[in-house]
Amino acid sequence: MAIFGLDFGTTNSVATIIGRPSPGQPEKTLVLTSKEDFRPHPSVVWYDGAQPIVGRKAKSQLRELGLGVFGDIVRSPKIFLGSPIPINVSGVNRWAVDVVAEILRFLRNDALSRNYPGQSFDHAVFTIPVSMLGRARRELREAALKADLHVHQFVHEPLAALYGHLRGQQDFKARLAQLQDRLALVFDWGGGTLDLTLCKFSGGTLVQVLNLGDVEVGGDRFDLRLVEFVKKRHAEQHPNADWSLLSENAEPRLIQACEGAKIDLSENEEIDIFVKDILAVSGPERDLRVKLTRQELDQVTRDLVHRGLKCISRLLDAAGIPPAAIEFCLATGGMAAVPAIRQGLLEIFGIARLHDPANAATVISEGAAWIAHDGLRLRMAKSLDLLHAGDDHVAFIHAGTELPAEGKQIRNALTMYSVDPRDGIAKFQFSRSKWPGRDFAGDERLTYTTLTLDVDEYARPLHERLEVEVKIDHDLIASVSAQSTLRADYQEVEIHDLEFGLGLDGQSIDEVDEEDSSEEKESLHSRERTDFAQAKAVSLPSGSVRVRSNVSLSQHAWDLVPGEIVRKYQSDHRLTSKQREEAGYYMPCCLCGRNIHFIERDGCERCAERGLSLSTTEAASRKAARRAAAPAALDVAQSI
Amino acid sequence: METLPPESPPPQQSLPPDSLKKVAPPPASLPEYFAAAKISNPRAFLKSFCKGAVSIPSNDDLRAIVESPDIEKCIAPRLVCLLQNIQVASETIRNSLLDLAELLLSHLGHIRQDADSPSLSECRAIASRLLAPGGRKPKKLQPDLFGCFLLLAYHRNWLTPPDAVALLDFAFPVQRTKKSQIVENGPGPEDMVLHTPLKKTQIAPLLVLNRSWTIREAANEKLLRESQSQISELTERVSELSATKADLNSRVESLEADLREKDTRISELRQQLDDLQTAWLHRHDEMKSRIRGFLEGELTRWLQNASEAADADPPYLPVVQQRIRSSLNGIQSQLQWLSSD
Repeated sequence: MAIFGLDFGTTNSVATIIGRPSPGQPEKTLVLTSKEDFRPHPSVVWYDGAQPIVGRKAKSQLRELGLGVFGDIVRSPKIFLGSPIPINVSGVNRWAVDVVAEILRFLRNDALSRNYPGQSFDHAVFTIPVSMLGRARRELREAALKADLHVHQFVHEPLAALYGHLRGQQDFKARLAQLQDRLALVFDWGGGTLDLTLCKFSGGTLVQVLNLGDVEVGGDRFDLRLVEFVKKRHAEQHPNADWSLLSENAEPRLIQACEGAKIDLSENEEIDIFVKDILAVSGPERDLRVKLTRQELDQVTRDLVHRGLKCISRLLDAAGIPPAAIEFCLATGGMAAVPAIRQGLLEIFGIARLHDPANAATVISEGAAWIAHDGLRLRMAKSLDLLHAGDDHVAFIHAGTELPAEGKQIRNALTMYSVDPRDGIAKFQFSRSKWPGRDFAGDERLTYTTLTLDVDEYARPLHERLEVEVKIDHDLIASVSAQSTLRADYQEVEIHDLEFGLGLDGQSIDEVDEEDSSEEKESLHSRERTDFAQAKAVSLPSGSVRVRSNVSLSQHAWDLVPGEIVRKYQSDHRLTSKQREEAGYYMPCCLCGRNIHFIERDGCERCAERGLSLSTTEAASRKAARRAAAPAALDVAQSI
Repeated sequence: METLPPESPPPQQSLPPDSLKKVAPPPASLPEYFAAAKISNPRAFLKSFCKGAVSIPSNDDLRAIVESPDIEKCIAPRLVCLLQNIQVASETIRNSLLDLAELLLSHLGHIRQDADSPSLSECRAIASRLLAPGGRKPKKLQPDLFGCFLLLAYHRNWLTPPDAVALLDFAFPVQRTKKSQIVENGPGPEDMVLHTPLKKTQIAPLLVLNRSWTIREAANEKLLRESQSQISELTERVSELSATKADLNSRVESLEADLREKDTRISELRQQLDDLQTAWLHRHDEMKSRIRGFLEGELTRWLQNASEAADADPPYLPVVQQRIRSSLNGIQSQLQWLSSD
């Protein structure tokens, strides 16, 4: 079964296979660009009545720039995947899945029409944007199936681009070895969006460290600016020109002329734009004659270029690394050839570290084909952790775990116990570290989801078994479920934003089709218990909602049971300092009958006589002093 | 050999009529066996002999038996019975009995005790004397003494089994049988000699059977030889065929390996062909699409724009120049690509 690579891009899509030009020669990518113009196929669907038309012919019908729906044309239907509402195309509601299926069917038919022997074009490695979440992935797979295509595996576009770029080099294995623990930046500036992805080659896995996207600076924005500039210049030349009197097809011709001028200016200092009969008038303003220099182009688009390049520093600042830490920057997408952008990248990275390959428009698809050919698999970039009652984290699915291919799934199950069931709810918070490999105490964490489960509030702590299970399917969606055995509550939630990387060493683990064997479950349990012992305390970013977990892996974790109730069940248990503090907090004073909170807040004369607290006068004066120091904060606190 | 006779019953003819009425104790020695009024079961006696219940006779005991006055009437028939069951006895007892028989016959002057083993002709002569002792008036046949001599000669290996049968035939001549009277599965000579009471009425039909057995044996032996010869030939043929089969198997394996190798090679070549075809088709598509894309796309756009600029009023010459220059550069670029590999 030959698997091909498919870059289903925002603006363009293209398939690639791996072939050998002649015996003895190394294999190379064969990119299935359009047979009409040797370019990738535009991701555009035009509904000519009920008849869908895809590709260049559909794009030629566009009158406007941008992404989305334009009359009966849908450009980049991918952006609608995962949306709960249909797309309205010329008054007809169409689901994104169906529109995407038209493009995929077109791509497959185009590939099949070439009659390449031994190629059935029914299984593909699909590239997806980093920002595409689980629901959209699921719908993309559904659309592919409608087009008789099986998604063998998803892979993120920047990872595919990096692998495609490196794999095309003759000494790529040595190069991969050199890049261990190095960082690379994929700078993908295409017609629709700018996507920056900081990637790391870590332990045989290529993982994305941080991603930043900007949909406001795509190549279309440049064309739009240019169109506006040219119109303005024409208006300056002909103050009486009335732009409401546009001739037929004037707008697409002007857009096309500006696109051409933008490309030509990458090689020329100045260019003349001429659009005949742009206005349906008889005066000299009928034809558009504008001279455009590269300097003017730079000026018109300076803010866009600046904004795009600024994304690099934003990304690096967020990652906390200097530009010098980047091993190389891979510039892909059509906009990387724009002189101002290339110059900006050169200034940041220098000529040695800026890689702008000749196949920038197709390198993502080529990378996907190499990934399919080399049998590379996706892996968890970060552990899927569960917050434990001890305020530490237990790795539920480990970083580096190979993710399932089509038709497979991986699963893990744990039995847990509530350390404090008094409120009738067990709280499960799932999270991951912010940075790959950084899960030490104090490292920042990001929360995936929180799941609450009804438990028996009258049961003693650590008594009721809570069965927790995580399954990850081929759409890289994690389904987390929990069940309480006494209360018999069942809750399930999906995680759609798992972070995954690309395994480069071709190692694989066993997957299951349906059910794990009990031995496997047992081994997973024991593994998790080991991790529990090694779990580390972590911190959350400021402003995060903090959940105090009340679940534990061990049925004997009496150290984690709140101090005020542990004596009720374990009279001989030796309290930890925290438990003593908790027990004392809720215990009323033997002198005044109030608990420590009120005694500390309001003072107590009887306790003060024994030197155990402030007197009421002292407490009042301290409160006044605090209020004077931070009146606003105090007000808020009091109101709470 | 299948027709082993039952344990030899004691001779009925010499039993005194009152011996059946009272049960006498079993004989405790060989002289007692011979002196007993009633003859004991010879096989049971020999078995008890072997178990040690009966003492081994000394030479004096043997001599005393021989010197008994009832040699022909009592000793000889009982000795024949013992000798006919001698196969159940141990080697020592066998030797004692054979010594007794030899001593008896020498005592009666039929054989010389210290002489060498008699030849077949001597045996015939002895048998003649035993059957018809010299004198003018022929004496009555002495079958018990003849039996003693026959069994002695047989067990001392003076006679081979066929010789023993021939001696029997000599002693009990019968008329020749027709071939049609040959009975299958007749007794062998050993059975005949050892287990048949030595009476002409019994020996004669057995000898007829033996003759047919001998003929059948000879035919069987001939058949056996032929079969063995055929087996040898067939074995040789099997060996030859096995060798041929092994050669052919080896050849088949070699051909199969060759076939596999060729299949692999065919697969490789087919893959290469597919690769070449794919590469060629792709190259063809690439070339067509590139040229078509250039001609329909950029070149058409440039030339059309140049044409429009030239037709404009007034003509926009810079555009004409630029577009033609771009067209030329584009054509040059495509030509360069075409001239590359």
